[in-house]
Amino acid sequence: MKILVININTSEAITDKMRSVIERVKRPDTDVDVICPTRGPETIDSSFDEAYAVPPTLDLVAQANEEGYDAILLGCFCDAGVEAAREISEIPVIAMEEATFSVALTLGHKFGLLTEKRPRIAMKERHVRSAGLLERLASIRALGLSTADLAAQPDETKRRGIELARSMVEDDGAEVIIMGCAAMAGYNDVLQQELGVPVLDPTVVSFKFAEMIVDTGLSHSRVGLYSPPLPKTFK
Amino acid sequence: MKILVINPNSSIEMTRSIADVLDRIRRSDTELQVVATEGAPPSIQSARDVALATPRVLEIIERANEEGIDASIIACFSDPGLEAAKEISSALVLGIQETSLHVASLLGHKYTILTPLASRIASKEQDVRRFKADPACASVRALGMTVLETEADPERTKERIFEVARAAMEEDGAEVMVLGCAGMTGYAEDVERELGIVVLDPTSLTFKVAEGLVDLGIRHCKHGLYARPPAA
Repeated sequence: MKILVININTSEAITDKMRSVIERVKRPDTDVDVICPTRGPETIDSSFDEAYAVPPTLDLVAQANEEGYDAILLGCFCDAGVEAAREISEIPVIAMEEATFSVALTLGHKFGLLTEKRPRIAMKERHVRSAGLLERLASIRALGLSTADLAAQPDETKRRGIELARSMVEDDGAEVIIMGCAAMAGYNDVLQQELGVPVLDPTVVSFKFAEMIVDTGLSHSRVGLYSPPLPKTFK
Repeated sequence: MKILVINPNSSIEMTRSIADVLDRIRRSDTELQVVATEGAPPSIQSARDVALATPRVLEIIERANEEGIDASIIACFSDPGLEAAKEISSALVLGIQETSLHVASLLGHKYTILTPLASRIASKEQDVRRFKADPACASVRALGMTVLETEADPERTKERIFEVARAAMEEDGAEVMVLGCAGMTGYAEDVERELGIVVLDPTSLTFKVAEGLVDLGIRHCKHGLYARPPAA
């Protein structure tokens, strides 16, 4: 099977990191390409960034449909552009956030979501609400460190991540933790040991989800939300 | 006051008809500007259309903020780019869907959204949740006509609006109808009179809400969800 992972921002460094994580967890017989668009924002930190990341991503989705891939994983924990991508794609499009939420539901009653920055909490809550999953959400908590601090102080990042995840479990009723921030990637084993609850790394979980979708031959329904767009002239 | 209304598609005809309707209801001291979105699809009927229209809409919002504006309205019932527009705008931004759903919930127990195509029902249901308007939503029902068909055949459009609105009242318990597409503009009064319920034309309604909020100097909160995007 052949899977295309699209990191929807234009950072080569983030794309490389994602590739190395996926290379470790993919099945030996899975071929995978991890790419990013050449135009658009370097990181996705706002709805504004999402707006500009989506059109170049859609071009890559259309292209992948011509190139013999079995599935596409949109590799951003914000799922920007997923509905449009499914409209124009014959092959399955897996969205990182949605796939991770789905798996979390099978592992415990409520999930807690760890994110990087405080201003994104409101947007995350809207995503959970749009997915119809508010009743299964324990809480969303943010590390509240700047991107520079996250990189410069790995020990402090890890300490705060563990502290926040623990309070989601003990105070908010979370039974599953989702690591919705790249800065905590790689710590999920440590966290899982410390807290004794399942801890999901969205990149890993959504990639394995994509392999499963291809194995089962399933794809998105084309009759309603994801029906193909009407043909029209674009000026 | 100066209000900018953005029609997020590239159709000049649709832009002109929005301008005609709003020009009739604006206060005499309100300066109204209605623009089409160059480079956007000619109509917005899919997530792809929304995705492609959004960056162009944001460019207009950015320019309007530089030139000085009291409020912008995104005049399409998909509210393309609404959250991003609020992030980058210090002036008030309203979307016609978000605004009309919240006003609808003030005017009756439950509302129904009328949308052109059945394939968009699922997407509207998602929007209802996105805008936290779900407890008051009775249903989303489709006319079974494309946007262009509603423009081309007013008789048939009116007939379908009557039929579908009546069914929403009788079967879903709706007390308020929200006409969820620009192609349905102009039928609100007839349907109201005939069926005895409340019918909202989202564009006109949102325009008057914008005039009111500007009068009061009220804008969206710039702390949290709509905070200015970080530079890096």
